[in-house]
Amino acid sequence: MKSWGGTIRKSSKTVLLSTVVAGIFLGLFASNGLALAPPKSFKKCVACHQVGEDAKNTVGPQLNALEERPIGSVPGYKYSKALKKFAQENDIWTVNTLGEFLKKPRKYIRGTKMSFAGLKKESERTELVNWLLHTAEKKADTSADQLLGASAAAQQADPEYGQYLSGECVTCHRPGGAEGIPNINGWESRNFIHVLYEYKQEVRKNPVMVTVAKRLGDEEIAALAAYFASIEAE
Amino acid sequence: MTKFNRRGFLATSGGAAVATLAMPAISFGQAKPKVVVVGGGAGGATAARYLAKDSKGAIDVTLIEASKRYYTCFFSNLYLGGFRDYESIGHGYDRLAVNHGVNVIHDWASGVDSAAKTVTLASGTKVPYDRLVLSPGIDMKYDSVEGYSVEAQDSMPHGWKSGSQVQLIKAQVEAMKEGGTFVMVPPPNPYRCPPGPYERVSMIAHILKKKNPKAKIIVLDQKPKFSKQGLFMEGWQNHYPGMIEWIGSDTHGGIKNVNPETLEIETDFDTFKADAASLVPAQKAGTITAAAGVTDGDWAPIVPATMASKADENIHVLGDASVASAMPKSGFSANSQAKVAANAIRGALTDSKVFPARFSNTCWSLIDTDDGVKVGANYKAGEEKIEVVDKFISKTGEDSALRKATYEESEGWYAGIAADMFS
Ligand SMILES: Cc1cc2nc3c(=O)[nH]c(=O)nc-3n(C[C@H](O)[C@H](O)[C@H](O)COP(=O)(O)OP(=O)(O)OC[C@H]3O[C@@H](n4cnc5c(N)ncnc54)[C@H](O)[C@@H]3O)c2cc1C
Repeated sequence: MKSWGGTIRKSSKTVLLSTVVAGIFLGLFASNGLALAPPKSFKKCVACHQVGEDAKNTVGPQLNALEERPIGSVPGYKYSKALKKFAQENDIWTVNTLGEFLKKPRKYIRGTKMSFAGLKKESERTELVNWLLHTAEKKADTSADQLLGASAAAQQADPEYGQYLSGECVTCHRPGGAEGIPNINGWESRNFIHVLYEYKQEVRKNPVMVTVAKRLGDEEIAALAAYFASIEAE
Repeated sequence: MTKFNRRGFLATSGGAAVATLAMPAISFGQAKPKVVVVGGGAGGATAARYLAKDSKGAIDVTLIEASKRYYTCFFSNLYLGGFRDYESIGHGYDRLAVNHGVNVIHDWASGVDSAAKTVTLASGTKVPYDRLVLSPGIDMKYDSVEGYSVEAQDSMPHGWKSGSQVQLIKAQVEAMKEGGTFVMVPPPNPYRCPPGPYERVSMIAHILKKKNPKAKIIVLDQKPKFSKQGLFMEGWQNHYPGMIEWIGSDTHGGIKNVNPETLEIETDFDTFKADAASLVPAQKAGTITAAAGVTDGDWAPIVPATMASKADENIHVLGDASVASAMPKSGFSANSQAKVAANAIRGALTDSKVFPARFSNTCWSLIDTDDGVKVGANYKAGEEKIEVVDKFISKTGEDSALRKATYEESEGWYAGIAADMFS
């Protein structure tokens, strides 16, 4: 099989050197200075997925070279049974299959670990799918505003406070997740912060979470992010 | 974690037996502070779990619960509507013992001696405490409706406490004659789960729509308006047109009396004859609160910052039994209050940090398949009362995808709170 990982790495070595990795935005987007910025809707993915030179698997697998790699093939990522089965029937992601998947992930691949409701708007979907398949890995800009909540990320986190505050989260967020409500254990801090900020700013609209997030100050958000990052995901 | 003999627990957990768990042989000289929790429901199970888990063995936690298995009132409506089986809403206590070292005693707490700081069990045993947590839920005021009684609850089940009553309602709805009339009498304020009666009406309509489509449901409310009224009314119109008639107390003038034998319900305005009926009477705090001397009238006033009784600083009252002001009596609220109390109690008995109280609640209701709605808020501790910080409610006219997501979220919540209470 083509070692796509290797090629990417090589071709972007020089890119890495010129990458400006700014503050807390470490590694989410590496820059080659050329590539198209991700579409707006990609914000919905970054809590769980990374792309770019330093992209790692987090809650979800990294998304580099999505159009070249076999489905479900990122080393070190534990895919769901459902996705593995899907991978047996489909070699690589296409505009069609990825589009259908992102429309309603849990409907298209029943049993997927991806707890994302889906992108309803076709225009948004097309844009995102095209970017993911054709542009993403040749990579985006470092635009600092990709990740929200820098002020919270800069805070000193009090783990005891985080544990206390987490009481409010775990009435609904079960370890391992459940239908309708995702797992939040083991999330990377900055992603956790980013998502809470999206609720705070009503980029994400679920009123339960908006109400929760609006009351959280940076100290609380930092404490929670550190606490949940410290718990191993199931 | 200390090894725990499961066999021993199961063998002795009948009656008044105490399952002695974590570190039973620690020397008496350095006795650990003792917290006794009465009631293993949404408030009590959560409190016991957080006290034991977060104090990491520094506090000796005993949970006194009458039943071996807790069937949640929350989602009992989904059982009624056929969305869940009965066992899926039942939970046992063994993991509280095994995972966190809670001493679980299955017995009835019959009295509290607040001077001696002991709880008396029906078996006669006295259990000493440094702090007592009461989360006994509600008791019915059977005599609040003339003609209603403990016996009447077989023919007009309230189904408002966990257990077999809701199974009875389901059986009676399903056995109702073709085109019959079901009468639901929701309680007056304040009561456990404000949207609960209307979710129940929805779930009964859901069954009847399939099995007995000509049947009718009449709701004779003991109050003039109700929680999420606009959302329910819209949903009933959409899903069950012509089936449900809601009559508020302003219109019928009040329930005068009921006849559990003939299933007649007399209001100021008319007499209604039911083929099956459910009546939910007025409620009060579980009786142990009165025995402990912490009630004022029907409920137990609390200090918002700690959930401690206003009458006795060593007794904390959680959940339905407490006067939580702006917070509705719900499982979510009780669970939230339990964490505030656990934090305060740990701070008082050990030297752990005490953080400011924060509370929250969301109540989801299902109107029909994939049509879920929700209402919620978060709260802070004022001097005297628990106060709202921010709140939200589903809107009428939302699209079906959002309603479905709301329903799915409620399923996620159930899994979450069950784990938060019992895992
Ligand atoms: C139909 C219905 C639907 C509902 N739906 C929801 C919902 O969707 N969401 C929600 O958040 N809430 C819901 N609720 C409300 C929720 O069930 C209650 O608010 C919640 O259970 C209150 O918790 P609690 O700890 O106060 O009491 P409970 O959960 O009732 O627990 C009390 C426990 O104490 C035990 N006990 C009492 N006295 C003694 C004693 N003297 N000795 C030993 N044991 C004792 C009882 O056996 C019981 O297990 C619903 C209620 C109903 C009736």
